[in-house]
Amino acid sequence: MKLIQKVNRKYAIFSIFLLVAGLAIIYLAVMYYIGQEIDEELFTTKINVIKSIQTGNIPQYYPFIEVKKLNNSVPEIRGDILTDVNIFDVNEKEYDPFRQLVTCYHGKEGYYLITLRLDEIQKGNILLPVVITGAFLLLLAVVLSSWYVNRLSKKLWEPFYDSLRRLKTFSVANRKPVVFQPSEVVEFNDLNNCLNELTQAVFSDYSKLQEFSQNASHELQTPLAIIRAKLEALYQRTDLDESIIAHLNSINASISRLAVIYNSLTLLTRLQSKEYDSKSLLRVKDILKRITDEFTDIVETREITLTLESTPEFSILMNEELLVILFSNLMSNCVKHNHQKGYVKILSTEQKLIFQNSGHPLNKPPAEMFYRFMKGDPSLQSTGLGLSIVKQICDSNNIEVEYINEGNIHTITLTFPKF
Amino acid sequence: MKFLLIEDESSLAEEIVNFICAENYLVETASTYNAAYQKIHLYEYDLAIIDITLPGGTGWSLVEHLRLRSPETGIIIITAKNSVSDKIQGLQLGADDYLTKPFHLAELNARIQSILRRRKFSGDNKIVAGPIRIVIEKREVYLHDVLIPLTRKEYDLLLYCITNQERVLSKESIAEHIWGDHADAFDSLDFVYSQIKNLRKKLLAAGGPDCIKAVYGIGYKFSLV
Repeated sequence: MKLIQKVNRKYAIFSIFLLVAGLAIIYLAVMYYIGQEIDEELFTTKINVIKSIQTGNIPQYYPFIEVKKLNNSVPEIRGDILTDVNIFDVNEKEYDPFRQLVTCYHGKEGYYLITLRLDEIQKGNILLPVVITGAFLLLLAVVLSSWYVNRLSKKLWEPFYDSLRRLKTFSVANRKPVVFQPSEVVEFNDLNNCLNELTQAVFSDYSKLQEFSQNASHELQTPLAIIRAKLEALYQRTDLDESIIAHLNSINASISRLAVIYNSLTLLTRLQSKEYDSKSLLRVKDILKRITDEFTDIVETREITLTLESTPEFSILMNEELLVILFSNLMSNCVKHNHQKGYVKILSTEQKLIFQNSGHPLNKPPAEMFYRFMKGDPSLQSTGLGLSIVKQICDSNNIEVEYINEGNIHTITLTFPKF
Repeated sequence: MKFLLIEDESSLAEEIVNFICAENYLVETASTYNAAYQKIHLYEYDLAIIDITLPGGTGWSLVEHLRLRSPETGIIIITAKNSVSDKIQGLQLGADDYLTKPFHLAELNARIQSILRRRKFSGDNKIVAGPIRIVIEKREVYLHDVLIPLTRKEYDLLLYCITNQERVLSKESIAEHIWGDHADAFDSLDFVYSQIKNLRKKLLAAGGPDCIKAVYGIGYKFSLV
């Protein structure tokens, strides 16, 4: 949920509560006020009725005015008694609410019991327009203020959204620092400052890492080259015995292994660098053809049947070298973990490209093979980095990669993004 | 033939010199940018082997200087940087070849020979080793003037052995030469054996000498002696 939506929702709930409470207060206030008015009206009528009695004219107007002459008995009623009563209306055949004032008047000719009533129906007549007007005004206030709050929060949060947009374009590899717009709000400026420091730290760490991987590749490959050259010089000697040769071969194999591991590791660290930023629209089948051609000899040597069952007809926008490395690694994987006279099948449907090969069943979940240094068979001369390179290239180019192993069949499926 | 080797690691330079001097070449070495720069401007070389990272400067600018001053000189870059973009840059600046560390000396030697052949004998380009004659352009091998049909791999293998005559070649070096980057994609060392066996069989069947000798535990050696 967006922040503004959240604010609006909370505000709406609060407004409804406010509206109901406001209406209740208006209702109660109007009721009270009208009640007071009715009572005053009754007292005024009482004075008029008493005046009328004094002039000898006894008014009778049921149900509003009832005057009863008491025959010399002392009335039980003292003072004025106000009550709410329901009186049956003969015409409409229903009870109507009335306010009733009962009082006693001691005139020259004795006691009079005066009962005065006022129709409370008029209460409703006044109440309705007052409440409607009140409700309308309240509603207007709620709508206007929510509109204002909405506008205000959009305006207030704009620097925040701006920073967010800028942050989304942040890429450690392109080395472009993110510039945040200064804001009037202290908190947002604080946030921007923190983000600035953070991105600077990321840049600095990243360049240190890059530097390290470059140093590692250069400074370590050179001693390796020296060891290999010395070893080859030793190989030229004629006085080597079996045990020395065995040692030399073991050294030689380790050098090759080290060289491959360094190449793979530095490739993994370089994958994100701007070195591979240049992208072009590549026809997948062209690159695939190039790689399968490269493997023709190896496949023949191992008597592996390589079949291209259906050609991919889609293109992808990515760095050419990376696509070459991707296919090369997958092919290498298919051949390496195969057996003599096995098969490699390449097929394609829609956006998918599938590499399938025969081999030994995996003893681990296939997904784990994408981890670095994870090997299916530890005895094999393999660095365990090939598939992690595949995974990383796929991840950075929105290609989905899935590895399925069913018995002796290994299937790696690449799903290319629709272009 | 006069070579210039520009490499700051003296022990590596020493082994390179030892290995290629067997061909009776004169090799001068320079271990810093300035020393190399002076030599380039003072003398003429048939071929220069240039390391990219040097004290005092980069090999890239040496390649540029050398190319400008002497277009005839063959240039081979040796570097620890293994990226395609570096390779492209090197070739664009005018280098003839590009080799990444750690390389096999025999591979370096083969590349050097190939550059020299291309540069010096652009027309009639052939290699003769005893009764064997290789016509480079046509990729044809003659034994006592009779054409021997070889597969592509066998041809590459024979050429590699002959350019590194009298030197012991390890199986790794042969495998990497023949299968390149993909040599580690399979147990290629076992297949070096079968390729050599086939090549020897063809040469012997055509009445040639048994010139590719197995060196116990290490690899093979082409020798006419």
